[in-house]
Amino acid sequence: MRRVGLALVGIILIIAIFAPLIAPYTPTEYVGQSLLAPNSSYLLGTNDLGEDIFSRLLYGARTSVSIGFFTALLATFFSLLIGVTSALFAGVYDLFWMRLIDALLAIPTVLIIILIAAFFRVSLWGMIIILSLLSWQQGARVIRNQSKSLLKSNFILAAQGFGAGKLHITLKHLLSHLLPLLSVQLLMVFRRAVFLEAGMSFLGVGDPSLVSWGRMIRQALEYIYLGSWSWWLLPPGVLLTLTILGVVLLEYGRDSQRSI
Amino acid sequence: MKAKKLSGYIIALIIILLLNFMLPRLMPGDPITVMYGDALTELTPEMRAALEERHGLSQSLFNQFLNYLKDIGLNWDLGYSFYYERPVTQIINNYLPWTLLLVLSSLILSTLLGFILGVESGWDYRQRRDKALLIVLLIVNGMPGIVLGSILLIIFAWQLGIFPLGGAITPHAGYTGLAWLRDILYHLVLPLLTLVLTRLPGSYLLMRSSMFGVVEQPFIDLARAKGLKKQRVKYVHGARNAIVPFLTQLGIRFSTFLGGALFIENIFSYPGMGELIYRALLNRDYPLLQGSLFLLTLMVLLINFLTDLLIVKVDKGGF
Repeated sequence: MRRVGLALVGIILIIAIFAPLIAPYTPTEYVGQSLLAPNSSYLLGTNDLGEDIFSRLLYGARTSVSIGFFTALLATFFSLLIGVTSALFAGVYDLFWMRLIDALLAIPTVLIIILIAAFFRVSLWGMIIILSLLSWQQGARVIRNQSKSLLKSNFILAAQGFGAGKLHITLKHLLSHLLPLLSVQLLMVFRRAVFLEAGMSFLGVGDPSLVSWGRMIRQALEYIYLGSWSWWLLPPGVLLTLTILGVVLLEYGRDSQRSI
Repeated sequence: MKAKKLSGYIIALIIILLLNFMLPRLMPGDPITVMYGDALTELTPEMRAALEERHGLSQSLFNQFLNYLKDIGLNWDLGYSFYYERPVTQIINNYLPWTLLLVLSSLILSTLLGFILGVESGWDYRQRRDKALLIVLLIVNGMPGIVLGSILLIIFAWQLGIFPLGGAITPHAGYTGLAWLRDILYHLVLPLLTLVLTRLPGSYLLMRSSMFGVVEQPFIDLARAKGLKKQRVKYVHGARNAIVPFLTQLGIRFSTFLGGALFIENIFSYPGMGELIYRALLNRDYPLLQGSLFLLTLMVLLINFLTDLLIVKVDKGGF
């Protein structure tokens, strides 16, 4: 399962990185008559604005991957920072974050993202920041709990006995033991971010000039009566599914070695 | 009910209220233009003055917030939509029931189905049937609702014409009684199927992992040794002991179902809150958008709170 997941994610990554080299046209450029069926110059035809669907499909991978990647990085960084410091400093500081996390976990993320993104008409980076600010809670709690039990383990007590400070313990001992948790966290946030971005673009929240699979699916749905769905709707749908499936398989592939 | 859990809900409510209150005021430009500017073609000076008066914009920020709280708490006033020319609560009343129908029916169906599949899979843990089920459901898990929904719409409504392309009832058909019920179910099938399928892997995986934790316990061996029927051991002895983690997730699942429903309604033009929010987004009808999202958030908090209460009861009752 892991290998299939790796292959899927690898393919999407390659498409995302090399999109400008593979794509025959700029994704936001008027290249010909609108609503053309696939032909030799437009592999997947053109959309209602006369843009090349194949090029938009490739560039859509860039949007999904960059939103997934940077959100995962940023949110996991927040989780790590808040989780580890809560475990280290304990007391009121810890209490503050844990109560806040309880509250944030009770709030439905999708609704809040729609609300904020609708007001600010966010760009790619805006979307990454909003998603990150709403994706760190669960990870922070898991990391905090894990750090707390690590801090009680013998090797850390021994290090403290030798006079190691908090910073030294964190950098030298805690982080290396948190790595497996962090990789699970990165994958989970990546998957959620890709999923939510597609949903937001589908609803038309956020920057309309962003080339996104979610938006392509929405546009294709509006022209369902033309019968153009097999080259307009299906390709972004399949790529979106493969991206998320790839990450799901990576996540469960990990677990299958342990418990599942 | 632990006090710390309750405080979590209170903090969540305060965050939501503050966010709703602050967003229009954080935007560049004055809040009146931000909130109503796009929904109104032109704002006469009288209307602007009335709106400023209504929101008390000349007062301090703190007093404005108190006013806002008073409007919601005492008068259940979520704002006024100039696009529909009606109070937000009135508009929502027409849309919310459809969303509740979709969300609750799919929650029940996918929970039941996930429960049964999870029990069966966890019982046969790592055998062929379990592996096959796991792979199929992981693949479904990779499929976002907007993709699955679009494909179902194209195949069953557009190509085959078995189900309607949209809506929740046949307009002006004047159905009553059983025919009316059938009409509603007929329109519900595709959105329901989409939501059930996209949310099935969650409950399945949870029940499966909970189940194989129980299967290896000695009391299962004992039940078998007593010569009880397999189904009885599986469901009465096994599943009953594995169900608590499954139940605790119900509240959280309501929230994910609601989130999913917003997108799925949109695909099938199902006249629920998702459709309403989508229209509000298109029209930049901020009062309606805020009111709808606030109400849904409130509902999620309430349901989570109630499931927490229920779980305390279940735990005490010695399940």
